[in-house]
Amino acid sequence: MKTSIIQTLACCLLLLSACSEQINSPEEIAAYPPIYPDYIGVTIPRNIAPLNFNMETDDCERMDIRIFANNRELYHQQGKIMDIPVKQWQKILEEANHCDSLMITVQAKEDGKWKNYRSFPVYLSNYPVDYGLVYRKIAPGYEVYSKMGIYQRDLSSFEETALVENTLVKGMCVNCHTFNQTNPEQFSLHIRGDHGATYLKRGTDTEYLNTKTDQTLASCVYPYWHPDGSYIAYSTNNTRQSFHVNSEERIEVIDLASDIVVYHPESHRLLHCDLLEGDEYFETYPAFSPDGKTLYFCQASVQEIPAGYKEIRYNLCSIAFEPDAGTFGNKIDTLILADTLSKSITFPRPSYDGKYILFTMADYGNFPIWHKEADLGLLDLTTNQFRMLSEVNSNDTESFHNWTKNSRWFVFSSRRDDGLYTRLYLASVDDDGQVSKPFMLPQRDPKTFYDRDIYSYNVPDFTDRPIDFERRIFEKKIVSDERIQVKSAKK
Amino acid sequence: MKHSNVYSSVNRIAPILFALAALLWWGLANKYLLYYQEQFQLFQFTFDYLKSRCLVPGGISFYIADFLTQFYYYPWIGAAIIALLLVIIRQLVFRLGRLLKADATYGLLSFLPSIAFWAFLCDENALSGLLIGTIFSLAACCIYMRFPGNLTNRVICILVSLPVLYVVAGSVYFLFIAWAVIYEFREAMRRKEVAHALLRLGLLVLAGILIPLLAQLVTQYAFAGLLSGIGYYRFPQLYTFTGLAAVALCVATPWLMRGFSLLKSPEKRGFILTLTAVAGIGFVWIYKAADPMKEEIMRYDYLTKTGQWNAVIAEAEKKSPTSPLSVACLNLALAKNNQLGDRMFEFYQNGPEGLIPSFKRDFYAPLVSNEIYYQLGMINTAQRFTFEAMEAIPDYRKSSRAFRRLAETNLINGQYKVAEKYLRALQHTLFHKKWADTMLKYAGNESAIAGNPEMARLRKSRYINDFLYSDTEMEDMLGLLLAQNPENRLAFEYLLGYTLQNKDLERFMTYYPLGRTMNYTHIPKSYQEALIYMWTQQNPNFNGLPWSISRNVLDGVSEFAHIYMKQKQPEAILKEKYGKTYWYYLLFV
Repeated sequence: MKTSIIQTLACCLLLLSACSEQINSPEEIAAYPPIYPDYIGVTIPRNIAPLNFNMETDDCERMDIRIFANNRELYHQQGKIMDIPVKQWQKILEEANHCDSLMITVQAKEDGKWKNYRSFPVYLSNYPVDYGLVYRKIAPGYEVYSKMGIYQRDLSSFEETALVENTLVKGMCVNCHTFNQTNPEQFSLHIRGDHGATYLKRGTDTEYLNTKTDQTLASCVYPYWHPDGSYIAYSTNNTRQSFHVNSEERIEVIDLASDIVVYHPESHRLLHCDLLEGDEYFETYPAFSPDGKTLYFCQASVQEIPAGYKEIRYNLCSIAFEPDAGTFGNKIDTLILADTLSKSITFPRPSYDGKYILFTMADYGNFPIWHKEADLGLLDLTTNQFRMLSEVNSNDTESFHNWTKNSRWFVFSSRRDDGLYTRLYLASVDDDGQVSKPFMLPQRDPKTFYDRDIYSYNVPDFTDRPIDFERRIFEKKIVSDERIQVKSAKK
Repeated sequence: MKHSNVYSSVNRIAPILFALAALLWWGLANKYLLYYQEQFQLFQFTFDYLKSRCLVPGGISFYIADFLTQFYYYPWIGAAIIALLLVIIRQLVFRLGRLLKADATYGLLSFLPSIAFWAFLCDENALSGLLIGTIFSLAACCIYMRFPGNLTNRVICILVSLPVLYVVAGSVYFLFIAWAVIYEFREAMRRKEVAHALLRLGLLVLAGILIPLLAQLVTQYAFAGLLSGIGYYRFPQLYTFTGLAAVALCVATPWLMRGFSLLKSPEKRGFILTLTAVAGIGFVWIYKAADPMKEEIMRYDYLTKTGQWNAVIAEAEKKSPTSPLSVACLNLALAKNNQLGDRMFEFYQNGPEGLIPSFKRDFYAPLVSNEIYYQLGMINTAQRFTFEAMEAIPDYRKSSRAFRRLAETNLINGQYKVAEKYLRALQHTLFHKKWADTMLKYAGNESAIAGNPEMARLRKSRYINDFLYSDTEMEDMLGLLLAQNPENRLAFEYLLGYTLQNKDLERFMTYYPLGRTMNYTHIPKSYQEALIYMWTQQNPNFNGLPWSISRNVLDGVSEFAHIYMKQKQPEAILKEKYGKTYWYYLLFV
């Protein structure tokens, strides 16, 4: 009996020692380790999920990872993936409470030989990120869509839950989910298909709207909440999709006409402004300023379609808005005359602290996700100067983006990973407006996850709490086709 | 030998004969349906795939069905699998009949559900998940029948089986519920406990509905789908009569066997009647379920996607195809064999759509059409058609065929990372792995692509300058393709074919001279027919004819014109002699 216990213990010890391989005289490599995702030198919030990573190449047999803070080793792991349990990661970040960075040392075994790479820093921000992200997942297709849905992701873990998938109602497409400054109690969502509607949640009230009126071009799209929740700005667009024939481009989405309206949920009325509905201009992508007194939007001169589609360039503009009366100013200000730069601005997103407007800039048009040259730019509203964000831009598409509630983080979609499937990245803005190197949305096994993921991540937006969404009531209401008809206040 | 022994022997031999018949049917007569089925899924040996399939009611059955369907890549294996599934169902139904103490004389009746499933599978959208789910449910019925005299055990069996079956088999678990309802009702009624019988019936039906109701809490499917099943037919929530009948027969047949056994008719007569009825029903049902027109399209499509151009033409020589997609495949095969100009009008033509079909929101037609755009060098359009077809698959699954084509188009377009993504997914399959391994070597390897004749040709055939594609201006699209790549002979033949099919001879005459540099050894027959037709519209005779037109064509046009002018109803006469000429197409089709 005694012998067998000793034998068992010996076996266990042998197994344990086999789990952690001894590394002797590894080859010293001066470069940082080639890891996926590229987390080298990124800045992260302290409430983010573990920054798991893999070696980029499949040749890596094993990694040895050590995490240090203030030269103190906090964590050691060997394996093919850096896979830190969430609780362990939170403990690491707690222990690094007074540090501004973690140092990560990676040794990798390839062809039976260990290499010791240069340690790399991961900077820790004192500003937290919101509870979660909400995004749509859909294959990067053309006109037809397969399974898709709106999902929420807890940013402190890897947990993703489906809010609504199109399997719920036959032929349904869901898009344009929008919250009021990350507050999911004020939530707008579009449903297309046979049972089309605009779902609007304001606190405990939910409504299903038909937003197409005789006075508007089409149903309302691209919503943006007024900060006090009493209005939602929309654009109404007559859109056409075309396809490129050469290898570089795929799709072109062109507006044949577009206007901006503001919806007043209390009265179910659309407010109009002649300056935002002119025939000479396309107006789109409205966004209220954080004080609710300015409406930002993109405006372009009308061109002949399709001949002049490459000449359609949107400037960043604004118009005054009086929330108490629901009236507009009588002039349009141009904040960035992108047309003169042969550029086109889309998706203006003011930071909620009122300091900046983050936008996307492409060579032309209003649908930059299909433009490889599309990049993010930042307008400083205190100086009215803008700059392109070289810290976050890549050679591929950067597109839709949104701010956290504290305006210290923004999320954006990019196709830098493989050129087609849109992935999400987060970056921080410090007190001086300096933007950090972005990091890819963490996953438990990122390489396998993103390689096998056949969806693009669309329209990311932060939520400051888990969303209370009653799916079955939503299904029932959508199928019922009972809609509140929005009225136009136009005379 | 006693009669009962004879019938027992028949019941043992009949499944073998039935399996052989099914094997021959699916392996020989319907093998293209099996190829068709295989292409609309992408079974991967990954945990992610297992998880994605199993997270719906019946997911385990669907996963097993997917696993088996991948073997349809080799139709004889696929046929053997289907034959085996049909025989398993028969054996289980037979077993249930015997558990009800049915006489072996009526054992052949137990083939009825399998015949119905056979007919069900003839529908191109029928999925074998229904058969797998049915097998699980029948097996549960057999287990339940092990406790004929013990109500407690039966109740335990029901309580365990219902949730497990719903998870494993999906809503076909109603088969088990129906079986238990009938059995329990009968048992209670035998004891003349009417109230008890009704109570058992009510409880079982309630439980049957309650479980899908609970499933609503954890799934994103509508209740109707959770009740009717989501993985048995390619269109979720749509159930065919044949599918329903097959499941219903699984419940009804054992009772039918028992009912007939109680009749006092002579065994021999009963056996002969049963044999005649089952054979007759089987023949008629399966014959009616088969759709030769769809099978024709699948055949042409398969031969086209695998580049068997001679086989496509040989098929057409046996019988000219009539569906637009088959005709489009034939025209591509003719073009690939440099015969389009010569032989296009030898076969039935249905206009430009039969030459180069436009986009349709469907999961199959664009997949077939993409082959034409791909071969022409319209790589982006081929890619779009393929992607859209895959996205349109009603049960949201991905397609092995589409992944292969998307990998190819992205390799040709130099979008290597995207190509690698599709190829790595294919590496997790059983039968596409080898191909994916080979194709991965081309990713980022320009010299390897240049050394691959097809990829090099297609790269050269593409549009050079960018513009926005227009489905409605196909002639311009082909013209621009040719203008940007004057050596693209396929584009030239399609351009001329398009004008001929469109009966636009003025445009034909405009484009015809572009063929001078195409190294033709002779003017293709249909071009000759078009040229001489145009000549005869403006000239009284053949003097000064600028083209080398064959004597047959010259004689033919004269006679054709003569009959056309002189006869009151010339169509029938001309069809017989000149039905395979462009002139006939121009004037009568």
